[in-house]
Amino acid sequence: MARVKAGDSAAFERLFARHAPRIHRFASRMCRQAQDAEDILQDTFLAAYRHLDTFRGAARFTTWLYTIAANSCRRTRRHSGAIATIDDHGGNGERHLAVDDWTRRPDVQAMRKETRRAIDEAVAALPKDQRLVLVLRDMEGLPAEEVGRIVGASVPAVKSRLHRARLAVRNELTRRFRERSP
Amino acid sequence: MTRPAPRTVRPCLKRLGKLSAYLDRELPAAACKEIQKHMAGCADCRVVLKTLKKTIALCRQAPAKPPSRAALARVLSAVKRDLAKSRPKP
Repeated sequence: MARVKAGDSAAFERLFARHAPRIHRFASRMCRQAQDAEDILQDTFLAAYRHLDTFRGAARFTTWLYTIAANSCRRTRRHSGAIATIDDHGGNGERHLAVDDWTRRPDVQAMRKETRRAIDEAVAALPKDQRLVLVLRDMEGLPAEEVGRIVGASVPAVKSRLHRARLAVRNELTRRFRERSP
Repeated sequence: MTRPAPRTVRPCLKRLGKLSAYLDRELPAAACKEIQKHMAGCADCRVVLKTLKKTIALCRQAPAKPPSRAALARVLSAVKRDLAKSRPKP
């Protein structure tokens, strides 16, 4: 890190090689568009390099990078390619829940392409604050405390957003699988 | 022919809010027992719990396409170019 701070180009390239795939994966999950993911990756490393002096090492470097990337995602307007946004109310929230059991469907069991697409689209349709939390917690596998540091929210707020996001995705999957039923 | 509307239920809201914490094993034993007791007698809530659990598993298993080498090289070049532009000239 000291070498990168001192302007060592090779050290910066090593840092990029180590962390870029993870940040790209996160950005792809957040925005689904390849060009947006590349833009977010570029913004993240530019900002990280420019503000390296502010990184004190109290947080993990990856947490710091995720924080910068999350802020970049928030700024990206063309974020998901989603057709519609699932909100907390209407048919996708907690007021009414569809109760079809789709867990044993063969396409779900085999995680077929259309199932993967259904998950991607359901996640993409979430409001951004919920999508951030669900991607970081359930897809990137970070602990709630770390997610809280990245999104600037308390652990209870993270858990609450995560729960709403999971329910919304569950309801959306239930709706889609029902439409696809023979 | 139009498909019949999906069957929906008004969930047991008080317990519903705890289901994620239950699945993440973050609830105290007494609260877990209360949920298990309710599930034993409520088929609808059992389906909600089962599909919620599967939703979380699907999200965790969802693969992400890794970036191509070309894409990473492109971004690295762009970052270096931008940094070079913003450095003060001697």
